[in-house]
Amino acid sequence: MRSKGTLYFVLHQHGIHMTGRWVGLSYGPIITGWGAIARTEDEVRALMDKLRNEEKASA
Amino acid sequence: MRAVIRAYLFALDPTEAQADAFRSHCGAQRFAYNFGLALVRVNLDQRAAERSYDIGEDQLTPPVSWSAYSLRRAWNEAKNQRAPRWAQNSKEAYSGGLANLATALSNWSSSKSAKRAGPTVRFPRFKGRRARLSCRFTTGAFGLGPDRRHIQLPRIGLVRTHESTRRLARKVEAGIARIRSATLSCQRGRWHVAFSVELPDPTPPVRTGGRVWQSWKDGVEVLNPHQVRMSQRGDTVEIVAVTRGTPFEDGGYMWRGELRLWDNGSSWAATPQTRVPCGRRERCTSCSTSTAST
Repeated sequence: MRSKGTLYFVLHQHGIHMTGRWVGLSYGPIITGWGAIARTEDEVRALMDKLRNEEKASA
Repeated sequence: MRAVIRAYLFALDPTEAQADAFRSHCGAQRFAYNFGLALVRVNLDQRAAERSYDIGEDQLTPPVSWSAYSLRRAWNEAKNQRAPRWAQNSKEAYSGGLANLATALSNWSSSKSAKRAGPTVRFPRFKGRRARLSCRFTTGAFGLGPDRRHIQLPRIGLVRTHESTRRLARKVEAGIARIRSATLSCQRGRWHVAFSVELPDPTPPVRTGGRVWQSWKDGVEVLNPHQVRMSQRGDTVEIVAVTRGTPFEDGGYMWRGELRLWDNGSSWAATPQTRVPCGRRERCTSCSTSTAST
């Protein structure tokens, strides 16, 4: 494999979506980013916006 | 709803009369088991002897069915002669012994015909007087008593427990647990009852199915939505990407991973060994988020 990594996702209490962070190592640099898994693309885009807004607010 | 089966074991504090009834029920289960085994074994031996005399298969003594239902029917026909005082014990004691025998014979048969994995299962043996005392109840008036210090068994009635049954009673009263069977057994001189209980699976079902990841291309944030296929078995979730978020020419590929669900107290989290879609080196040089490092 070219890259390996790990995930930390928090599952919605009804199991309808999960949001979290991924971390990966790609031939040296360690990189990270947000991730979301849901039923539809609209849902996941909304979740990603929420994650990024929360990050900006806390920064 | 998915369910799990869990056993709840309670130590019993029976009176002398109740302990006698326990022994009688366990003996009844053993008696029925031996009765059925003798029936099957005599039939098998007879057929083997007939084969040794070169008697054709169609002329052999008809085989005896060893299903639990057939054995119980044979027992019901013979019980008044073989055990005139059978009514002193719950009929469940006899049914349990015959059901155990049917399972044992089925295991032996499937092992012999190589349909069963694992070590070879030998033909069931008769249970002697020193066999472990055990009796299972699957129907009838059994369960927890009206308070949290008693359990109820068919024909025997309420039996005091050495410990509180609260941990099971609360689940039954809340309607989330269902008692399937009660197994009475004697271990090292003490009587126990083990309730087989059906409970909802504590692992939440994952209903997600979608996509979208934040990734980085030359230090610039990119959202790469793609579809993943998820499958769950117990607390393990397997994720397989079925489309590429980034085109193949730009280094996108199908990734896969495995997550384990665990309860961190306030919420469920999914974590673990997985391969994340982080692209090739030239595409993932650094990250602008505060948690990133190089």
